[in-house]
Order: sequence, then C-alpha cells, then structure tokens
Amino acid sequence: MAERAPESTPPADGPGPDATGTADATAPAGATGLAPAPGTAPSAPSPAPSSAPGPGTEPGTGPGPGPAGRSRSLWSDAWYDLRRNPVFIVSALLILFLVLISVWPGMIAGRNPLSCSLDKSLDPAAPGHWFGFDTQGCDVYTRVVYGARTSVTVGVCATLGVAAAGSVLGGLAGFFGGWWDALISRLTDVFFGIPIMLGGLVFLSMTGSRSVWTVVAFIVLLGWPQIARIARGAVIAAKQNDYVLAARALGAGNVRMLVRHILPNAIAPVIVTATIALGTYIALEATLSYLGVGLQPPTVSWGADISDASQGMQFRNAPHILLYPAAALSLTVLAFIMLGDAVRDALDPKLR
Amino acid sequence: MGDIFTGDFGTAFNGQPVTELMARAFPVTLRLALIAVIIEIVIGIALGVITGLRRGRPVDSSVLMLTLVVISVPTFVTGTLAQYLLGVKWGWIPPAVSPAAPVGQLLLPGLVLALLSLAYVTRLTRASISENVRADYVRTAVAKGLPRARVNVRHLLRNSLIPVVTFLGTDVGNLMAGALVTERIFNIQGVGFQLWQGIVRQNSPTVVGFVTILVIVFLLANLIVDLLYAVLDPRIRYA
Repeated sequence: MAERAPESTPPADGPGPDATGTADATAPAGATGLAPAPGTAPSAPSPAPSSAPGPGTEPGTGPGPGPAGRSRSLWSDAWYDLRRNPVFIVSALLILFLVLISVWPGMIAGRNPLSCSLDKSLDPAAPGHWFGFDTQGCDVYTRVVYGARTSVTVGVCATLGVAAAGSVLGGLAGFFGGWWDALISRLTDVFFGIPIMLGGLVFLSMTGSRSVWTVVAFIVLLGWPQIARIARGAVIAAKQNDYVLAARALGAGNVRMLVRHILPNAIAPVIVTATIALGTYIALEATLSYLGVGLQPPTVSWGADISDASQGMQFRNAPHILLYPAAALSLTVLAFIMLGDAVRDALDPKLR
Repeated sequence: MGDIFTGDFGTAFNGQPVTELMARAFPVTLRLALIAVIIEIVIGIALGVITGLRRGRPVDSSVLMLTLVVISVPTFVTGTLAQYLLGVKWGWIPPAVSPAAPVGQLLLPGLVLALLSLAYVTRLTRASISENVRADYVRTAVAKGLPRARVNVRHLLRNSLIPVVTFLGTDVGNLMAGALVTERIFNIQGVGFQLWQGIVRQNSPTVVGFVTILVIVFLLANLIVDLLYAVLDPRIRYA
C-alpha cells in the first residue's frame, strides 16, 4: 500500500484516478469539505439530506432554496446552483423525455418494433417511416424509440444496484474498520484487477441466453468496487468529525450514527459518481451488445442495431440504419454524463 | 490447464498453435496502442495545459464541452462513423486495414482508439494544472524572474503530470476494451480481433490464452504505475 508522508496533503486519498472512474480526480475528494461547519453541526443537518435522494434524482428538493433564505445546507445550495445551470436544465429535460418514452414508447411510436417485412429491407425513409427500414425490414424509427427503454432500464437498474451494493459494503467497511474493512478493501482490489470489457466478453459469452437482467447483474458485479471505494473514503472522512464524536458521547448507537450523522455527510460523492456512472453503463451495455455478448435479438438494443448495421458494412448503401441508433445512443449517454457533471459541479464545494 | 505455465497454450480449432496466433497478433496491436498513446499524450496534455492556464475562458469551456461529448460517444460509434464518413462516403482512406497493418493505415484507428482517453487526459491535466497554478512554488518561480514559459514547463507541468502519468498506466484497461472494438470495426487482425473471433466462434483455447496474457499485461501495468507513483512524487513512500 502507498503511504503518504505526513507533510503531504493532496486531496485524493486513493491512488489517484481509477481507470473506470470519473473524469476528474477531484470528485471523490469532495468528501472532506462536505460536512457542515462545525458550529451548526449538532443541530441535525437540515431536513433534506435525511430523505437520502437516490442517484439520478435532483438532490434536496426539501428546504425552500433562495439566496437569502434560512440556513443553506449543501443540498439547497446545490439545488440553487443547478437550477441556474443551463447544462443541467438541458440534460434534465432530455432525460425526462427519455424516461417518458421508455415508460410509454407507444406515445410517439405506434408500431411494433418486432413486426418487420423483409420486402422493405434497407428501404430509405418513407411517409410514416421517417428513419427508413433496416436489414430485416423493421421500422428504424420504432426501434430507436423502443431502444430507449432497454438503455434506460439497464442504466438505472445497474446504477441502483451498484450504488446500493457499493455504498453498503464500502460504507460499513469504512465505519467499522478492522477485519471487515480489510476484507472489503482487498475484495475491491481483486475486482479492480478485472478489466471490465474483457470480463464482460468472458463472463457473458458463457451465459446461454442473456436478458436485460443478466447484463445488469454483470455490471453490478464488476461495478460495485468503484462506489465501495468512494463510499468508504467518504465515511472515514465523515466519521472523524467532532459532531460524530459528540453523538457517540451522547450515547447514540451505531445505527443512529450511521443514518443520522454519517449518511447525510458522506452520500454526496456517491451520488456524483453514480450519476456519471449511469451514462457509462448505458455505453457499456451498447458496446457489449455491439460485440455480440450483450443483449440478444428479441430485446431491442441500440448497440445490437448498430452491430447489425455494420455487419458487412451494410451502412455503405443505407446509412440511416447506422446514423439514427448511433445518434440516439450518443445523445442519451451525453445527457446522463452532462447531468452527472452538473451535479458534481454543484455538490463539490472545492470548485466554488 | 497446467501447460499454460510452461508456455504451451494449445492449438486453436484451425490447427494453428495459439502462440503462433499471438506472435502475429501482438505486434499489430502494439503498434495500434503505441499510436493511440502518442496521440493521447501529445494532444491531451497540450489541450490540458492550454485550458488549465485559461480556466473559465471561452477556450476552456468549449474544450471542456468537447471532452464531455467525446466521453459520451462510445468508441464503437465514433469508429463506425469515422469509417463511414472518411472511408466510404468521402473515400479519403481505405475503410478496412490490410492484414499487414502498416502504420499509415493504423493512424485513423489509432485516433479513434485514443479519443476517449484523450478526453480524460485533457480533463486530468486541466484539473491538475489549474490547481497547481496557484501553488506557492509557482509564485516563487515567477517572483524570482523566471520567464513564464520556463515556469510553465519546468515547474508547473512537471508537478502537474503525476496524476496524468498514473492515469496512462491504468489506461491500459481502456485501451484493451477499445482495441476489441476498434479492431473489429477496421478489420485489424490484432489481439482484440482474434479474441473477439475466438469468443464468437467458441474457440476456447484462443480465448483462454489471450485473456491470460491480457490480464497479466493489465496487472503488470498497474504494478508499474504503483511503483512509478513513488518515483514521481517523493512524498509517497512504500513502507
């Protein structure tokens, strides 16, 4: 293990950036600055945090924001910043739209994505079929719309799973320390030793039939160590605050300390990382499907559609079968990564 | 299985020894990866320094936005689009790479492979430059009258590159994933191509052999980075 000499006070406590991780190495480091000022500490850190906003949702809708309002917590501050960030507005609207069409795809696409007629194979756009037809003669527009459901499902479920598993395991490891911490830390080291794409090729190609849930399970299996490390670091940083010691002196039990004092102060870096990871998981699913080890035909997946389009370079004559799914996929991933970036900017006080 | 430790990886289904397959595949991928790494380092660090020194200006925010877009578009989409536009539509380059894979033909695949990491290198360099630009030693160097360029290169850049160098090491995993995709798109017969073919055709000796080697490479790269970390930053000691 690397050990830092006492005089060094660089921000990140892990060994720098991780390969799968966030764009900025500063993200996990935000933990140390997130605690409310010691003076305000014992008066239970504002109502918002204890409602524990899940990743992806805007944090802190609770307290009335507003610049000159009551004492502003990190969350109301962040929400105040976010509402004024055009990047956030654009990506949130886009994501809202994506979620809507993945819940009710029939809203904007009336056809069945699986009913195709081979005589229309690779036909260009026609009235009512704005994006043309793919190799099998399926309507590209309908498939692009239905593909959103797959991508959003994989992204959201995988992120929820990773965040839950990672923050529980990592958080408990950081809180209790000792052999449990050692065990979890070594386990994350082992999982970090598996390159995710190689692991995907090997694990997923061994499973016979793959549904959305197989892919989600795989992402959770290989993704949790990333969150676990961040959660562990954040909990260790939060644990050292005076108000935690005060709570312990007042006789608070482990559960109360974790839920009331540590969780609200350690969850921000987890939310940030999870939001950014959501976008990368969608890209990961598409890449796996593109390589033929992800989702299989009855499921509509943008990655698989792009793979079909590049089979024998069919896009040479019918570029529409490549361009539309590619644009949809890129926009979706971009929306989630922009959202994560905006949330990070809002939640990381070091950037203020 | 035990034969792996003696260097015997068995034979692929077409009767070729797996080691022979590797001997042909690895040099190709190595060339591709080298091109990618060079592009990453040169362009990534240059962009990172420019944006880091001009934090908050239009150059900075537009490059930042651009890196976000690059990070968001999956490699296989960039690759396929580049192949369609440059190779098919405009006909600037041959859309597929010949089996010999000369360096000239690998430039575009190398760029595609590099793009994702390029964006990360840019962001990392920018973050670390803009943090260090306010450091005391930079102010001292300026105060004692060193020319600005010298301060930037000898003092600022040198200290800011530590996270970048370590990123480049851990990036080997990304490059592997990217190579799987890039080699499939451009029909480059390297490691990723062979591995993918092996998996699609259930050719298990090939898969086991290549995965073993790749995981070892990945772990070695991580080990080297950990050791390099201490060399670059004397504040870090290994007890």
